[in-house]
Amino acid sequence: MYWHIGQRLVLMIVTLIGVATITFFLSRILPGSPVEMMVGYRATAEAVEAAKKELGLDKPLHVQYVRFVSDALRGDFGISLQSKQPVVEEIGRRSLATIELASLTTLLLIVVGVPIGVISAVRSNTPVDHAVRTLSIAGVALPAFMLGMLLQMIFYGWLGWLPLQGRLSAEILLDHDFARVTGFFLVDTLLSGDWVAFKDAAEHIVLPLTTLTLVTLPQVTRITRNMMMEVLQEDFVRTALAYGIPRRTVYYRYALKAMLIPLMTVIGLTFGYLLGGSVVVEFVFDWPGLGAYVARSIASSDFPATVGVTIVLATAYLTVNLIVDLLYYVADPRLRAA
Amino acid sequence: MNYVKILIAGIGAATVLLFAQFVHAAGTITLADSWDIKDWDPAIFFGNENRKLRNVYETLTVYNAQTKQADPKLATSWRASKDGLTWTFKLRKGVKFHDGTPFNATVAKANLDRTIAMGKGPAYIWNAVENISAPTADTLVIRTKYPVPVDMVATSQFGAYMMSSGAMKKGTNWLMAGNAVGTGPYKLTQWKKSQQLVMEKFDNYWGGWSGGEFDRIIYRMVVEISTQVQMLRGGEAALVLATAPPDMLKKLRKDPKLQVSVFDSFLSIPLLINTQLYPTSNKKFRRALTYIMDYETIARDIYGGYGQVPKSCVPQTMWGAGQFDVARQDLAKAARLLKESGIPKKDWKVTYHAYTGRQEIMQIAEMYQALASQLGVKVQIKTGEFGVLWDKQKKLESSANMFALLWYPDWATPAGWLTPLWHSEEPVVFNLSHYNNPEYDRVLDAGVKLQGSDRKAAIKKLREAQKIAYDDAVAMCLVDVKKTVLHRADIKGVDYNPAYEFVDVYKLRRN
Repeated sequence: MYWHIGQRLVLMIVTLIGVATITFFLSRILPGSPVEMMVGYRATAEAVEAAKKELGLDKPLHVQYVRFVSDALRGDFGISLQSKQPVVEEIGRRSLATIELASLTTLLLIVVGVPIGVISAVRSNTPVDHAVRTLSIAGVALPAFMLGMLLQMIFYGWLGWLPLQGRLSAEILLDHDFARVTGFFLVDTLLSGDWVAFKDAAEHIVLPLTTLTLVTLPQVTRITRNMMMEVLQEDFVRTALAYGIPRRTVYYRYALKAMLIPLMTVIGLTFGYLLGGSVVVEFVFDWPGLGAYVARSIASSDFPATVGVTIVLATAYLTVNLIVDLLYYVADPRLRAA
Repeated sequence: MNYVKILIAGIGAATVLLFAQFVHAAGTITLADSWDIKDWDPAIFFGNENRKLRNVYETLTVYNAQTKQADPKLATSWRASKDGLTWTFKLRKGVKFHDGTPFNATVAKANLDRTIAMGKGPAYIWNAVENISAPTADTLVIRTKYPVPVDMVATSQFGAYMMSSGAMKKGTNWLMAGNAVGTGPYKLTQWKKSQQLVMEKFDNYWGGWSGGEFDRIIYRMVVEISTQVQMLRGGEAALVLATAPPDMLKKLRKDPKLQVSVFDSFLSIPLLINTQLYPTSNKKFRRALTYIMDYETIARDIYGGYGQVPKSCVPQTMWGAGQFDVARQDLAKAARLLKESGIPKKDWKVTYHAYTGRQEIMQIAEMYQALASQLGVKVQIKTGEFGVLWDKQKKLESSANMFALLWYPDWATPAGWLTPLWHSEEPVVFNLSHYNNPEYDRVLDAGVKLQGSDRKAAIKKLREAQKIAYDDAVAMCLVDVKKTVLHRADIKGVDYNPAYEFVDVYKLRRN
C-alpha cells in the first residue's frame, strides 16, 4: 500500500512538472500582448519596452523558464497582469470561495443524488424511475447559465426572496467585519457568532449552489442507478432478501457498500471538476471563485495568472484523485490485505 | 421515506427563513461596474480606474464641453507667456486633502514631477514639460520645451491628478493595497477586492455640500451586464457604469422605472485600412472600399440610434474636427473605383480583424462582408481577443487589411486621434494603417505645436492634416458614438462630460 502511495506521489510530481512546463511555453508562444495589458493599451512604445524588461520578457525563453521554476518553487507565480495583485494571493482568496461552493455541492450530491439513484434503481421501470430519468436528461440538457439566470429571474427578480449575486451583500461587507478564519463564509460567520452575516452568506450561496447541484446531479443519479441495478442482480442481494433482512438495510448497507468504490470515484471526479469547471455559474452569480478567474485570465492573456491557476488546479485535481485512491483502502479491506 | 421527508422539510424551512431584503441606507447610492481597480497610483492608472477614482482625485483644470476650453478646478486662473512656453497657474486656496494636509503649489509640483519621473502609463502627456516650479504657495509655473496648451493637458483624465504628499511618500505599493488620498468630494473608506469599493462624503470638501448629495457611494463589481441590469431593475443598484448593448437599451427604455440618458461623447470607431498590405496598398482600391460601407445602418440600426454618421474621423464634439464629404454608401461608385484601381478581380480579397468583446464591432464586420460580396470583394473576418489581434496588426507580416477599434483621446485634442492613429512611428503602436506620409507628419506636428499659442492656426493645420489622411483613404470613419448611461428613473443630475469616462456622483440626487 505504501509503495503504491509513493508511486502515486512521484507520478503526481512528474505530472505537475509537465503541466507547468506545457502551460508556461504555451503562454509565451501563443500570440497576445500581455505587456500592454499591464501598462495599458495606450502606453507608449518606451513604456511597453520598460514593462517587458520588468517582466523579464526580453530574456531568452529558457532563461524565463528557469526563473519561472525557481519562483514557482517558492510559491511565487508573479503579479497578475489584469489585477496587479500577487497571483498567489488571488488564487488563495478565490480558491476558498470555489471550495466552499464545490464542497457544499458535493455534499448535496451525496445526500440527495445517491438516494435518488438508489430509489430509481430499486423502483426501476416504475413512474418514479421514469420521472427520475426524464429529469436527469433535462438536467444534462439544460445549460448551466440558463438555469442560473432562470433561478435569478424567479427568486430575485419576481419573488425577491434571494440576492442576485456575490458572496455577501454590500451592507454586510461594510458593517460586519467577521474574522476570516477558514475563508468559508458560512463557517467564519458562525465561528464569529454573527448570525446576521451567516444568514446573508447563506442567502447568497443558495442560488449558485442550487444551479451547480442541479446540473451535476443527473450524472451522479444515473451512475448510481446503473451501478445499483447491477449490484441488485448479485447473488448476495438475493440471498439477503431471502433471509428476510429488511429491504432498506439490504439496499443501503449491503448493496451500496458494494458500489462504494466506483461511487467514490465519480464523486471525487465531480468534485475535481467543480473546482475548476464552475466557470459559467461563477460568471452568472459573480461568485468570486477560481473558475471565473481562470477564464478571464486566459481570455486576456494574463499569463502569470493562467500558469498559476493551471498549476494549482492540476495539483488540486491530482490530490483529490490521490485521496479517493486512499479512501479505497478504507472502504475495501481486501485492498489493504493485498 | 422518512429520510426524504426530513430532507424536504429541511429545505423548505431553510427557504422560508432566508428572505432577502434590499434596504438602502439613506444617502447611499449603489453603482454597478464590470471592472475592479487595477492600478491605484494616479501617476500610473490608464484605464477604467478613472470611473471611480475621479470621485477621489481632482485635476488642476477640467474640460468644458460647451466652450471647448479648460475651466478652473484646483487651479482658479492661469496665463501663458507670449511665446507659449511658460504657464503660470494660480491655485485654489483652502483646499484640503482627505488626510487633512493642505493642497498647495509644492504638492502640485511634486505630483507632476513624480508622474513625469515614473514615466509610466499616461506620463507621456507631459512630454513637453521642461521644468516645474512653485515660487509661492499658490503659484505653479510650468515651462515647456515647445508650445503646448498646458491648461488643456491638465484637464486629462489620466496622469494629471493631485494626491497628498503623505500618499506620495508612502508610494505605489501602499496605494496598490487599496489606498487613495485626494481632494475630491468623496474619500475612500473600503475596498473588498473583486466585490465592492466604498467611498464616503468628505466633509471638508472645498466645493461644499448643499444638501441632497449622497453621503456614501458603493461600487459593486459585477462582471455580466445582464446581472447589472437585473440589479438595476430590482432596485439594488441605482446606476450601471458599463455600457449596455444598443439592443438591450431598446428594451430597457420601455421600463418606466429605468431611464437611458444619452450624451455626446468623444467615442468614435475608425476602421483603419492598411496602406502597406496588398491590395489595400492601392489608394484607389482603398477609396473604393470606403464606398461599400453602409454608415447609416451602423448609426441607426447597429447602434440603435445611439450613433451618428460622422463628418470626419475626429468626432464633431471635438474642437478642430474637420468636416468632409465623408464617403457614403455608393456601390456603383465603389464598383467603378474597383475597376479603375487596376487590381485584378482575382485579388479582390481583404482580411478584416474584428475583436471580440464588443458586439457592434462584429456586427459591422459581418455587414461589410455581406455588402462587399455583392461587388465581388471577398472579406475574410478574423476574430480574437483585442490584445491578440492588436499584437498581430502591429506587425506588417501578420496584419490584416482592415482593423476597427473604438477610440477616444486622453485629453481633449484632435491630435488624440491624428497622432497615435496615423503619425508615422517605429515600432508601430496604434498606427495600425501602417501609414507613412512625411507631409501628413509635418502638417500635423505644426498643428500640434500651435495648440499652445494660437488655437485658430492650430485648427487650420489640424484640419489640413485630416484632409490629407482623408484623401489618402487611410480609414473609414464609421460612427460617432453617443454615450448612454442606464440608471433608475428617480436618480437625477446624471451628467456626462465627453472628456471623461465618468459619472459625477457629487451631482447626483435621488428624487
